[in-house]
Parts: sequence; C-alpha cells; structure tokens
Amino acid sequence: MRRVLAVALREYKAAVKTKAFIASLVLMPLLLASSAGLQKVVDAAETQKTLTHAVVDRTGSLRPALEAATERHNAIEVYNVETRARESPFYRLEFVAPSANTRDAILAQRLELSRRHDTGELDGFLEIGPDVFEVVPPGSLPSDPHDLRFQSDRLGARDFARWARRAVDDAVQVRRLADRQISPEVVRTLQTPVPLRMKPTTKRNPATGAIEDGSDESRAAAVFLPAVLAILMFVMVLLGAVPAMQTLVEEKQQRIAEVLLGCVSPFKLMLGKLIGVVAVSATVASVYLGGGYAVASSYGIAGALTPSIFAWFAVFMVLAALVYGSLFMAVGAAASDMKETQSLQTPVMMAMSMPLLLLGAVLRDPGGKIAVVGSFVPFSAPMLMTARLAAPAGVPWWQPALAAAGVLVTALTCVWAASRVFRVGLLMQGKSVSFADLAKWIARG
Amino acid sequence: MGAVEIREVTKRFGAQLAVNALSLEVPEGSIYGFIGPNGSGKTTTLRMIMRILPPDTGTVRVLGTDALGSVDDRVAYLPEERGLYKQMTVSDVLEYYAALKGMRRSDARGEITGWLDRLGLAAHAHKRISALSKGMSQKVQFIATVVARPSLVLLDEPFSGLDPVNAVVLREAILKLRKTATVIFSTHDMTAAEELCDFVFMIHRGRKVLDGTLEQIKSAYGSDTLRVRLEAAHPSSLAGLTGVSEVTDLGNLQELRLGPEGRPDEVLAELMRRGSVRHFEVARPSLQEIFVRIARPEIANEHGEHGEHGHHA
Repeated sequence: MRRVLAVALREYKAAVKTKAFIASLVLMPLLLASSAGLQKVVDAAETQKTLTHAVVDRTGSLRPALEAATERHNAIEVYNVETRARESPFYRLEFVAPSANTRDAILAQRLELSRRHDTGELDGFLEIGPDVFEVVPPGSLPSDPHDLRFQSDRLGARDFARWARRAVDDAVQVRRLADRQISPEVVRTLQTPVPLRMKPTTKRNPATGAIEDGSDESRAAAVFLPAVLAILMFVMVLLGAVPAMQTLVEEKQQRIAEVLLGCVSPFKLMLGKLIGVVAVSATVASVYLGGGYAVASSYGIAGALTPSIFAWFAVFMVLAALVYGSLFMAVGAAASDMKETQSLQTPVMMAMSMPLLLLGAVLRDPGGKIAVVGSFVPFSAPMLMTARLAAPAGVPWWQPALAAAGVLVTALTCVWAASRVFRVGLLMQGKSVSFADLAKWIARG
Repeated sequence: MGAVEIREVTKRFGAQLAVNALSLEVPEGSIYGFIGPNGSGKTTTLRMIMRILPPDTGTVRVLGTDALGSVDDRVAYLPEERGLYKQMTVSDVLEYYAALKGMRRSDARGEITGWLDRLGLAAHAHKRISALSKGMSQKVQFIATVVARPSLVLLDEPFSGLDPVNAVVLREAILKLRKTATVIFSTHDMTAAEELCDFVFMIHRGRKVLDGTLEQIKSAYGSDTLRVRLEAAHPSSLAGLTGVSEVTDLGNLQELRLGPEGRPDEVLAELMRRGSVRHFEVARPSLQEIFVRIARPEIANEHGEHGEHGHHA
C-alpha cells in the first residue's frame, strides 16, 4: 500500500505543479464568465436597434391607433420598469398605400415588399385585411380579408409580430365596442387581469426548521447552481484524467514503464495513478467550490448549496474520476505517442461531452424523460444527477443512490479493463493500436 | 543455489519465437555477462527474470522463489534507455524509486547521498533530469537501480553512450556491487564483458549458444588464431597464405584464422619471406571474434533475404 501511495503522491505532484494546470485552473472560470459576458454584449447590441416594418392597412382607418401604439412602445415599453435600461428595439412603421383588391395586385405588392425586405430596407411587413372588424362566428374558418398577416424571414421577427397583433387587436376591439355603443373604458377596467406571480416551491429549512417561502434569489440559483455543478464536474475530471494519460505516454516513451513494472505490479501502479487522478480532481473541486461558495454567500444564495448536495457531488466526483481516469489511462497505455492519443481518446471524449449536450434539456425540466434517463446512464450520471440534485425540485433519495451504484459498477469494470490494457500496452513500443487490438487485450488479458 | 535458475523457458510474441528452450543458472555473487546481437532475446530474458513478462513454458526461479507475477524488492533492473522523468529533480526521482522499492525515506536519503558522492553527482542533486548530460542521467539511472540495496541487479546495456571516464566510474561501481549482490548485465562491449564477467552467456535467435567462464569458452574455441603485424605492409599482402582460412583486419594488427590444415610455424616462415615481421602471436580468439563467428553467417543471411525482398518489390 505504501507503494501505491508513493505512486499517487508523485502523480499528484506532477499534475498539480505544472504551469498548464495552474493556468487552466485560473482560465476556466474566466472563459465561462467571458462567454456569458459575450452573450450579453450580443443581446445588448440587438436591443439597441430600430426595426422598420411596412404596414398595408386595407381598412384605411387603423393608422392613428397603430401610430399611438408605436409611440407608447418607443417611449415606455422598451424600458425595464426597475432598471430603466432599454431591453428591446425601437419600432418604426411605414404605411404603404394598399394595392387594388385583386389577387394579382395583392401578390405583386407582397412581392415588392418582400424585395425591400431582402435588400434590408424593411425587417418585415404587416397586412391588415379589410374585414377585420367583422366578428368571425366561432367554429367557422376565417377567410383572408379577416386576417392580420405578417411576413418576414428575420429570426427576431416574432417579438414584433406579437406586439403588432396586440396593437391591432386593441384597436379593432375599441372599434367593435364603439360600433355596439359600449364604452371601451368600462370594458378595459372590467378586463383588468388578475396578477400572476411565478415563484419556486416553498421549503422547510433543514437547519432552523422554519418554513421558507420561495424567494426570487432561490429562483436564480435554481438554474445557475445545477449548471455550474455539472460543468464543474466535467472540468475537474478532465483536469485530473488528461495529465495522467500524458504521464503514461511519457513513461512509455522514456522507458520509465519498465522500471516501474520492475517495482510494482501493473494493477498497483494503476491504482496509485487513479488515486492521484481523484486527488487532483478533488483539489480542483475544493478550489472552485470554495470560491463558488464564497461568491454565492456574498450574493446571499449560498443556502441552495446544502450539505447533501456537497456529499453527493463528492461521491459522483470520485466515481467519475475513476471511470474517466481509467479510460484515459487505458488510452495512454495503448498509444505510443501524443498524436496517437488523439484518435484513441475520441470515444472517451464523446462519452464525456454527451451530458454537456443534454444539460440544457435537464435544466429546463429536471424531472423530464431526458433528464431522468441521462442521470442513470453511468457515463453521464455523475454530471446530470448532480445537476438534478441541485435543481429546486429535488430528487427522491433512492435515485442518486441507484445511479451511484450503477456508476460504481461501471467504474470497477473500467478499472479492470484498463488494467488489462495497461499490462499489455505499457511495454509495447512504436506499434499503432486499433480498437480491435484493445478489445483483444481486454478479452485475453 | 543459483541466484537465477532458468529451466527450459520458451517465450513467443505472436508468431515470433523470442526465447527458445533456454536454460541458465546464475550463481550467487557472480557477475554474469549477457551478449548477443540486437533482437536475439536478451531483453526478453531480462524481463522474464524481472517477472515483467511471464514465460510461456518452463520455470524461472529468482533468489529461491518462483512466485510468478509478483515483483521482488530484492531484484533491481536498469532498462536499456533513459527511464527517468525529465521534469523531476535528481533527488526526487531517486527518492521515488527508493519508495517504490519499499524503502523508508530517511533510509533512502542516506543511501542516495552516498551514491551521488561516489559517482560525482553531488552538485547536481537538485537539478532537473532534463538539464543533465546523457552520461550524467545514465549514472542517475544506475543509482536509481541500486539505491534500495538489491541482492540481484540486472543491467541492460549499462555502458552504452558513456565516455571512457564515466565507463570506468561505472565499472568500479559494478565491482563494488558484487560484494553484496549478484549482477547480470547485457552488453555489446566485449572488452567490458571480458574484464568484468565471471561468466559469459550468449544468446542468438532465442537460443543459448555460449555459456560458461571466459576460460571455458575460449578454450572451446581453441588456439586457431594468429595475430601478426608486418612492417609497412598492406593487409592485402597477407592474401593467399597456405593454411589460413580467414584474415581479419584489426587496424594495427591482422588477425589470421587457421584452417584445419594450418600450422603456425609454416605461416610464420611464409610471412618472413613476404616482409619484416614486427609482431607474431599465437592467440586464443577474443570474445569479440567468437561473437562475430557465431553471429555473422546469420546476419549475412538476413541481409541476403532482405535483398531478395527488394527485388520482388
């Protein structure tokens, strides 16, 4: 055992003391922060625009109401009530005289407006049918003249379409009410909506026993925390496992492997290296989680990081380090130089990145089918189960336990298979290894 | 009891027969030299003694045990090339290897300092391996091998790449080792083998072709060798001597091999007719000569085969 620990200690020091490790430790959060920042800048640029749309008003009477709505939008609605920051683009409407009411003329006008849309002059165009004031009886199919029609190829067009529909609806309703001698003001007052408030669920604080109503802070944490924990898991395992693979290639190339195998058995050597991988991952975790906890505390959202989340995170981190550590090591033992590791590690990297691709779906619906299945598949369970655990909905206790058991079995299988690859691969020099070879080594030992 | 007892050991790698029905006994406290052309099975044999590789058939007993698959702290191995972590310092590497052999840290430190002093490396203890010259890192590698006071030391090509001064230092270190350990080393340096070894073992194409003391081996090859030097004579002036089957140019000396009918005094008389003889010696063949005699026909054959392949392609 002392030997295993000697190997673990050396591996740990060799991985942690490099400049690359320290650089990635610092750069990783910066990278994440800057990509989030970049998204903000792009969004901000989008909101500062002015969008121009053409309006063909075949009723001939809605222009004043729409102009008033545009004014209200540009003066009031684009600004956030609390921050006073502008959050959506200004709108400008260009009223175009309607064509003759024949099919050919209408199509010709649409084509002309589409051409102006394509040149960038217009962001889209709105056509208000001549009969929009008529009420279509429920159940009957509305015909073209009853429609409000909007055409655009722009991705951001949906927001304007929604706004335009509301503006036209309002104006049309006012007109319909007036036609029936009903005061629009009275109707408006009566139609005042019941306010809806979205909040997360109410929880009992495990420490104080007090009931805590869902707050807006815990709402922010609900999305943020699971995402951060899952990505952290990915980064940690990568920072732990990849150096171990590189060391193995060095040991093969420098013929250190022969000396080592003269001192310890292949299995013990690998065990020592795996402990090193886990220790490196744990170091990264404690740096980030410690830092993250401090940041969360300063924002007052540290309460979401409960001891049970910490505990499960630790369990899944160790298991993930074992699974991916042994797989990367098998790659290192089989490859004869760094270039060869590139192709051999592709499947491992794919298995590792899969949960990142599913992360969005898991965050949106932590209890959904994708999330539940993904959090039980051993290769993605560490990341996705942690994300689900950190989401406010929570997970029944048996689910992480069952997933952890599955990952444990996978980890043992990976360690066993890798140790067989290890034993054969370490002394093999200068020979390219295929996946078929690897399978043979695992089968025969 | 021998330090190493190999009985009828065969090892294959796929279709290639690396070691073929090999038997060998290395007495305790001896220095045993392994010689043989490249790819003849030396390293495979060493790895089997180290238990890095298991034999397909046969048994390998090392220091009285034949527990296969378990490594033994009393056995140490110096592989042919490098074997050191480039980014670690000399003392860190040595402490690590000592720890892998189960040595306590305090114990290891004293031993390491002693060896670094003895091999003239004390000033480099805290340098990184990557900053050392080839000779220096080779000496560090040697210390890494012997630091845990092994009873059996296997050295694969310990002298290759060493300058004469360092070669002497290493030779002395090996002689010092024999007081406490059995030493097996493989080498292409026949002079070193002749000077250091109690026993010489030659393996060729996986088979044992020589095994015994230098005395035994040389007398088996008889006294059919003459070493001569003629003043101001071109080696070609030795062509066509009666009874001489082969002439080897050693530079300053010419080595003549007598055929079955050859007689030294007749050759001398003929030489004196051809020129002024400066040196004449009836010698037993050197180890170098014996090595070449065994290995050359095969090597020549191999080249022939390769030539054939070239034509087909």
